[in-house]
Amino acid sequence: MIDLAIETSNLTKIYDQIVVVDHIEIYVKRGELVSILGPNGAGKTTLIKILTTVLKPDEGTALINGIDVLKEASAIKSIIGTVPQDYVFYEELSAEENLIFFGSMHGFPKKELELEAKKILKRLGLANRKDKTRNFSGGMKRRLNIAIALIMKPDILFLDEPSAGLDPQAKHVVWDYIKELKKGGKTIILTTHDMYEAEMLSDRVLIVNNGKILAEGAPETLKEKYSQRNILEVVFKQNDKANEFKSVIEPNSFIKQVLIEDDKKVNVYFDGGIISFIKILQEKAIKDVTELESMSLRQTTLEDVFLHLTGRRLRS
Amino acid sequence: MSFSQQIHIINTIAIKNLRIKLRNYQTFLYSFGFPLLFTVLFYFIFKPITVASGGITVFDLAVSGMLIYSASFGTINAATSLTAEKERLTLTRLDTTPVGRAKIFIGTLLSESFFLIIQLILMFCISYGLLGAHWYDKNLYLLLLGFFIIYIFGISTLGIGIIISANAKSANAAVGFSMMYVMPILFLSGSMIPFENPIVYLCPPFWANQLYQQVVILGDDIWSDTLRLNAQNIINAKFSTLPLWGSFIVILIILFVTTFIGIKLFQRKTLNQ
Repeated sequence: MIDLAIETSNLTKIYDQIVVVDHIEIYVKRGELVSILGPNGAGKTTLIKILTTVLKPDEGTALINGIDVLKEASAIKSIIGTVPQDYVFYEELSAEENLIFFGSMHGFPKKELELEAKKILKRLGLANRKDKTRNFSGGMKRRLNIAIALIMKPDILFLDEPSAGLDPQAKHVVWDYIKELKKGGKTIILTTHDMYEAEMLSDRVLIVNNGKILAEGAPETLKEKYSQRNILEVVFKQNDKANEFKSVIEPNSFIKQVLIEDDKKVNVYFDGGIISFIKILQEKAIKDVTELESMSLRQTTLEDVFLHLTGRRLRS
Repeated sequence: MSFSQQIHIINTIAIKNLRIKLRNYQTFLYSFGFPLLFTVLFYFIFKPITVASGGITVFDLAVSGMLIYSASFGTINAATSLTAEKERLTLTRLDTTPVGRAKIFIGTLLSESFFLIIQLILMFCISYGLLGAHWYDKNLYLLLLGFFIIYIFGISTLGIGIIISANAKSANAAVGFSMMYVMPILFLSGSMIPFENPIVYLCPPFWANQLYQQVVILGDDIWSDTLRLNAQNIINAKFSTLPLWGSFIVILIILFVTTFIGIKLFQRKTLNQ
């Protein structure tokens, strides 16, 4: 029998007649890191809110460590930690005061919390900041947001867009810490619309759109399954050339999709051999190579999987 | 979770609220600054005007109005405290911990009542200790009883604050709505400027003011005396048939009804959202 940390069945949430979470069935094994990937409004945060007992589902069941979220919400609250998308703590208090406060809500003794808070703050590089958290940078606030969830020593951690709005350096600090937590055996559910983040951190990815799970699996499996086509990325020097190129290339039978980005960049998804494609490019599509900024064949990403499944880019 | 752990959690919430409050200079301005400023101003303006034999001045009567004004800030404090909790989403984060809403409410009411005690001690010290306001027979027991009356009235103002917080979207809006309730009610109750109109009976501060002035300034017995119903001339007003302690019952009813409605509304507006 598989040891499941999270199991949902037919989970549904409706707001004003709009189905935000649509009969979702997921399972997460203990110690697994699963990313829920989808655009804004896909239903990711609502799903997390149901699993963390903040929202009640309109239909279906959800079990956390075998405990029903509807029947035993308080038991679930003592085994989960949540990291909301926003910076959610008291800006008038210091980092340590925030940690001790939220830890106290779980009934942990103050002495134990003080020691634990110092340990976590040191690991996250916040030990030297004794001032109000209002003065913290975005990266520091993000790390504190995570630290608050960890002081509760949760079995299962829900991270809602943990690196949103951070610069690349700060993102890496957060990612390294998430990897460390995973190594430590924590079950982690992560929602994101950052493909790279999902691909790099996750054991499995759930692609969600309009409240439904469109696909799930390991990042590599998904890429193999849903995007076996070749991708040619062409960047023109001038704006008007991309449309002209698209109109010439699109009618060919082996071209599956042509997508223009930023007026100059074109992604061509095609089946079949590269030789025949280059021939067409030479004869019809690109009359003058000096019009090109760059041209490259590239690897399939989760973004391409999402595009294949939904017909649109994740951020569009 | 054991009983002592639950008490510890409630205390932690209350201490956190007090810390936040005391680290915001705006709190000092409207909770301590304005009532003290008006008390001192009233002293200079009204102290020379005597209204009765025995040296009772307009200032002595105005002190109760100032105390009620100060205690009424409970509405603003409770409203901003709970609205801020909603606005910064800490309420939702707390909802994912085993703490439960009941403890959040009790912790908030505890911190607000403690804050109210600090406010009232300051106001009593300034009014009676420093500015020498009159109280009956210099009987310390009556002053303590008066403190208790204003304190309970202050607690009764928290319920309206919870009702406001259930609907306000931001802490700033909560301050605005609270002021729109507190100031008209204070004036309509005749506590700030006495006036004779049946509308005063509908305003909670009237009952606290009436009780305080009769007990502390005129020395009436809360158990055996009756209400003197003449807002413009309470000193020479004839006793009615209504018992004086009835005012206290009115304050208690307001306390329980508004707190109950406030909590119900707040829960309905914020749970499962």
